[in-house]
Amino acid sequence: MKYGLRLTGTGGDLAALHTLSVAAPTLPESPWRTLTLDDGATVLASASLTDALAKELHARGVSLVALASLAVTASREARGLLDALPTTPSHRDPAPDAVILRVAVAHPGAHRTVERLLSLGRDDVRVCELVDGAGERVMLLRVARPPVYLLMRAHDEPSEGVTAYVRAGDDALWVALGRAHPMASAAARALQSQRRMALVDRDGAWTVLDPAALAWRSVYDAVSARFEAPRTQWQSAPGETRFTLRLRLAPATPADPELWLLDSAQFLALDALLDALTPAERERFTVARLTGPDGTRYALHEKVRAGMARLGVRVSEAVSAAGFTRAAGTDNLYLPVGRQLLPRMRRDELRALLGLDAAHLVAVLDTPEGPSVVCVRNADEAPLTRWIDYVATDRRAELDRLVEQSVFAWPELSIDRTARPRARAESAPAEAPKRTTRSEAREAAPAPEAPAAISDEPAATPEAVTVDANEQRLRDEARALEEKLRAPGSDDTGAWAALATVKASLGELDDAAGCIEAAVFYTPDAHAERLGALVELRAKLMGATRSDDELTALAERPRLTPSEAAYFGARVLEGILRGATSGDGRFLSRAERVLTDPETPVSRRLAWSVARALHGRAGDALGLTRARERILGGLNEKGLHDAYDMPHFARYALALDAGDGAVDRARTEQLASLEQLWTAAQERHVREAEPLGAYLRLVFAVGFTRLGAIARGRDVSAPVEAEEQGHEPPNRLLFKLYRARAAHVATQGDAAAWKANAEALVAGIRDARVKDRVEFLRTRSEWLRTREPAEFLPNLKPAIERALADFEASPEEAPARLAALLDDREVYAFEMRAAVERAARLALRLGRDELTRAVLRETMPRLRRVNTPGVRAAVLGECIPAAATLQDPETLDRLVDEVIALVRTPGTPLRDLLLAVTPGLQALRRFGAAATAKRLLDAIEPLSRPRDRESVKLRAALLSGLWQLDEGERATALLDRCVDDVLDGALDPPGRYDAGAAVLTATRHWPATARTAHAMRFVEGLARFTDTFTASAQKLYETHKVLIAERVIDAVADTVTFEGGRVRAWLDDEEQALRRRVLADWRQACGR
Amino acid sequence: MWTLNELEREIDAVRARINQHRRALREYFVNRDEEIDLATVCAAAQEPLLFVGPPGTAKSDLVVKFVESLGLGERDYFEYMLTKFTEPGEILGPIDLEQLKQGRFVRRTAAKLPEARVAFLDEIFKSNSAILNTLLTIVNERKFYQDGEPTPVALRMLFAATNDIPEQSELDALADRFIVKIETRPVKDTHFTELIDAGIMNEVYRATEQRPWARGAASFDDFLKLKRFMDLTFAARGNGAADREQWFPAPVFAEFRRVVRTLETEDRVMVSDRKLVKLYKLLRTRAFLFHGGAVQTPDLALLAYVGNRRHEIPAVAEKVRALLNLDAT
Repeated sequence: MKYGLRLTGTGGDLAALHTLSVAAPTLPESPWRTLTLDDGATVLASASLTDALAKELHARGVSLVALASLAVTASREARGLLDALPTTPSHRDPAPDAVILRVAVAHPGAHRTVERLLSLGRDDVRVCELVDGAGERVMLLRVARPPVYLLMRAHDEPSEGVTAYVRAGDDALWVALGRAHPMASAAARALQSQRRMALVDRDGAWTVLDPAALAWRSVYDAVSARFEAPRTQWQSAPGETRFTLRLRLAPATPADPELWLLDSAQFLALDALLDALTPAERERFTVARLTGPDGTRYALHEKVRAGMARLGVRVSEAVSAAGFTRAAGTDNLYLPVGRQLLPRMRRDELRALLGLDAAHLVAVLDTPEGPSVVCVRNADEAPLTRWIDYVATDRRAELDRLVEQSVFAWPELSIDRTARPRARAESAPAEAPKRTTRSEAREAAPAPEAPAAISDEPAATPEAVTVDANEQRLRDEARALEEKLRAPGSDDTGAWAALATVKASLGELDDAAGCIEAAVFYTPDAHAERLGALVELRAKLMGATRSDDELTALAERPRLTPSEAAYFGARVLEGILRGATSGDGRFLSRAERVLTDPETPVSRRLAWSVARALHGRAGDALGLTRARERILGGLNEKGLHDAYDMPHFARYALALDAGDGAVDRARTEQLASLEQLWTAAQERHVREAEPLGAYLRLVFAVGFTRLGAIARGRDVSAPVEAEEQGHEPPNRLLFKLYRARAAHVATQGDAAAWKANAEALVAGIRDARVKDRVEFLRTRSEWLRTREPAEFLPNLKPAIERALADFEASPEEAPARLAALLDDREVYAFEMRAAVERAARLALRLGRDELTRAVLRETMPRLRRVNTPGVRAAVLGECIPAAATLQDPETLDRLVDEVIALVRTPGTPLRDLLLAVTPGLQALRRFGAAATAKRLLDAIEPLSRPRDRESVKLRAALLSGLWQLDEGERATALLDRCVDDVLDGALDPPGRYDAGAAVLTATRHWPATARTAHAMRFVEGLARFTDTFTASAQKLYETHKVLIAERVIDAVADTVTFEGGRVRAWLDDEEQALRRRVLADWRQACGR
Repeated sequence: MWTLNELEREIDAVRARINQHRRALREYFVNRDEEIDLATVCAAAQEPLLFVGPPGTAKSDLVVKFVESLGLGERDYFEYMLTKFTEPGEILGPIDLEQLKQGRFVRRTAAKLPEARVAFLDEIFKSNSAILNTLLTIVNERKFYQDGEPTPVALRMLFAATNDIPEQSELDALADRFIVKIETRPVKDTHFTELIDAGIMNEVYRATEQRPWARGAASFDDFLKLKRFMDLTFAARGNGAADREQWFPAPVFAEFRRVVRTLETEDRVMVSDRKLVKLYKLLRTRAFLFHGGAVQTPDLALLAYVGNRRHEIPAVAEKVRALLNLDAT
């Protein structure tokens, strides 16, 4: 061996080796020797480097060194050139994806390494054993994602005897940790072609292994566990001891009752409740007639699907019997409400003890003498509805909804009518079971003349539809009058009266009565003669007897149904205006209080008509003032009700006018939008077995379910169940929660049941880390969380608490006390806010304008005393709604000026500004102060131009405002900018989500098409919603992507569409008109 | 100020008194040894300590008894519960109106944080940004600003408590100043009887206005002396390397490095450069206080408290115990 190649540690080495292999292609395969010189340099020598080759290489620019002149300190034999190359230091990722640890079996380090791996939970390690060239047993441990700690220990502590090899090229080449092979790829390829693998040490020495000969096994096969603890053997003994236990009824948490055992009187008492139930609710009940030692009894049973709220308590109140609940774990054992059988028994023992197998139902009664058991065999349960005669219904809201759903915008049709007598349906099919309940209860009453009866008669075929010419004329007339009166606040009393006549002729009695109430409201004296007709109509609708006793009974009833209240109001009004009431003054004043109570389900027009008539005639200014306060206070607090205060024809007209049509059509459009979004989401973001895909499936499934497409929702989420086992435990639990949410939406279960289920599921998680990760997403998700994030509310000082309580005690003094608090230097800004809030809300609730005015009078000059801008904004947010109720443009303007001043104060946080802007805009819209609202919006707009999170949120508030003010074009442009900023702006991850959520929420009132287009942009840009370090550290799910998907669903598959924003707008305008009228009447009567 | 020579003569006695004080204080609590030990180490090293835990887990009681046991006067101790409406004046003292009339913005700091030697701030993360910024300067630089002039504060020991560590970036800076954070958990499930007995005794002490813990074995000065001694020891050989070679054996130091690296890489626990140096000092203080010598592997158990986030704290504690094989010893 004469020559060698001196390595320089630069890129030139590889070039030289390449030249060498070109000059002598067999050279790399021949044996080599690696020499280490005294200066630390490395020389690669080979016997094949001959003089001739040295000369040729020199000509090619590669100079060899003569070995004779070198001072060699160490040498190593190698099978080929690749083995001979020394390793170089590596600066690669210190956390490799896999390593092989090599340790001598006899070395204590082997034991320690295996023990530590298992202590760190790494039981996925594979081990194999070999015998090395020196005959020593060596263990290889293959570790995926190795613990950093063990790697560093192997690297730092030679005494540990462990060498870690990191994968350098596929599975063939493994190089010592911290080193790299200069020709790793070539070496790996060469090894693969020979079906070999090599472990390369720090000094470059190769250990070549045959992978097929390595018998990898589980780490558990390499350990033999011992547990050193004394053991004792116990023998089982035959169980002979039996204890006698006496079962007893003990107190338990009360649950809603579901079974009642009633006598005849109690059964008949159901009558009152049946009036108030919807048909669906009535269908939940079954009745079985039973006979026993105490005579006839009725078993009334409420059957509902799991998760639905029961009506139990209402039934118990109606029949004055507590009822029974089903014992947990049994099918037919019923215990008194709030009682349980103790001690608890196994189910089969209970069945044998109480004979549950043979009985239809078993009830344990709690009598003074102790428990007694009632066993019912073969009960013949029939639906409760078969015990009811339907005579009429005044469930107006439901009818309204029913009719609204069948309003279609057909083109004009001309029908060839043939004169046929109008078919009248007959009630009460002959074969009903003994229909005792309702008919018996009303035996004394004359048979009511049913304007429209529900019968089992088959529906008329299209040919059978006949409309005579007179009816057609009436309908035309009605349509013309409705056209005149459909706007809110219409006071054409002549038209109202005429419409009442037409409606009565058409048999639309409820509408006719409403029209008379309107006519009387606007001109009481001119239409007093119609009151008789009003009473007659209302009596018919309610099935009333018109007796004086009945009137007195109604006045004493704690709660009236809508038909009772309307009838009662009509009778009282007639009595006052025509002197036809037999009652005395006390009765009338009680009746007036009942009717003007905001809780009474009667139109506010009728309520005011009664109050005005009663106090106006008596010249009782104080009484009228109080009635006015009650009416206006109710309006401030609740507004008008769509069932009592809005004529039916106005609702139908709005349903026809609405651009997106009737409810079903809107729902179909929403489903189409959702399908479109789901297709886009699926294409772009749903990958098999990835958490994000699973979450998106579940979130969309909830959306489909919400829109009634339950089967579609199930289809969308089905793959998640199939792949579930492949996901991490926290994800699996969260999937379960989303599925529970979908089930909750599908069954329209009540919120309390959902909350209990969700919390029970989370409480059942034992692993704290898993729970922590489940809670991380759950508490952030608006769908999954069961309590709202706690807002920090500072405690008020006790003295302040007392002062605020005094507001309620004596409202007249509230403004002065408020002023004193605002002037007190010791009172903090947040306490001032609490004081203003309490005083303003009290004034609004009481409906006393002078009180509201006084509160504002004391607050406004002191606004600047509230020196924290955020708190001042909140105070303004309280004051604007109050000022809006006064219809006082000057005060409103001053308050809006204050908001604008805040807007212009540099440094006012935008977040705080929203506290004034959002409620302020709502109030201004509700009370019709459009110009002021617009001025406010104009002032805010420049502020929202920056592209940060708070500005985008402020812009979202602006969006809602502009849309409500019918500035659609401006709003659309703003929305486009908002979405651009959310998706493309330089926002941090929480900011992007926050702003995106605000924008999506603001679009909920928009038409479906516009919403879908913008929601689509969010779906397409979902990748932009990344997480922070903290959230992504969970490594389980992508928090903000999941949450924004929820918001997208909320925006598209919302419920606001069904609630009808137009109806609300109509009611708001009507409320203003009514308010003006009430005030005008009051001023006239009281001379102010 | 004490010199190294003076302190060397009495440091063993000081150390013994502090350890006796630590053990005596444990008598008044149930299963709070870990918290008391850590509070003692932090007090000796003058590093702030954060207690994280639900209400009713003896956080404030622990600090109050610890402070009372040092025999400090009322003006030496400042305690405050922070809210987002807390104003700087409540912590630093009101503005001096007389001075203000003369155009100087000076606070009257009597009985407020700047003049206290020990402070306890409850619900620290509920405070607003004005307070947070002020606290940062006080914790970091032990000073605050009077009319634009930096003024030193007397604060030597700072304890804080919180129910949770909010994940808001603006709070990260302050959270990072607390090198160690300890989770206080309810003990009623494991020590029901002892808790009732100790609780009743505490009620008796309160009703009869007794404070037996106030006769603490160590004084505030003892803690100052220990801190001074440690500082002088660090400086004695002129550079940090010397201290490490003498008091931190290489295998233990390598273990320290491995654990920190593992927590950073596998558990994403952020250990800043500042925190690392402070951890070294805390480990040295603990070792000297507990056994008077070089750092040993069990001293590294202190690393169990370096978790930053609420969910990290128990996970990090468990991991550190597993890495150091502490459960096996």
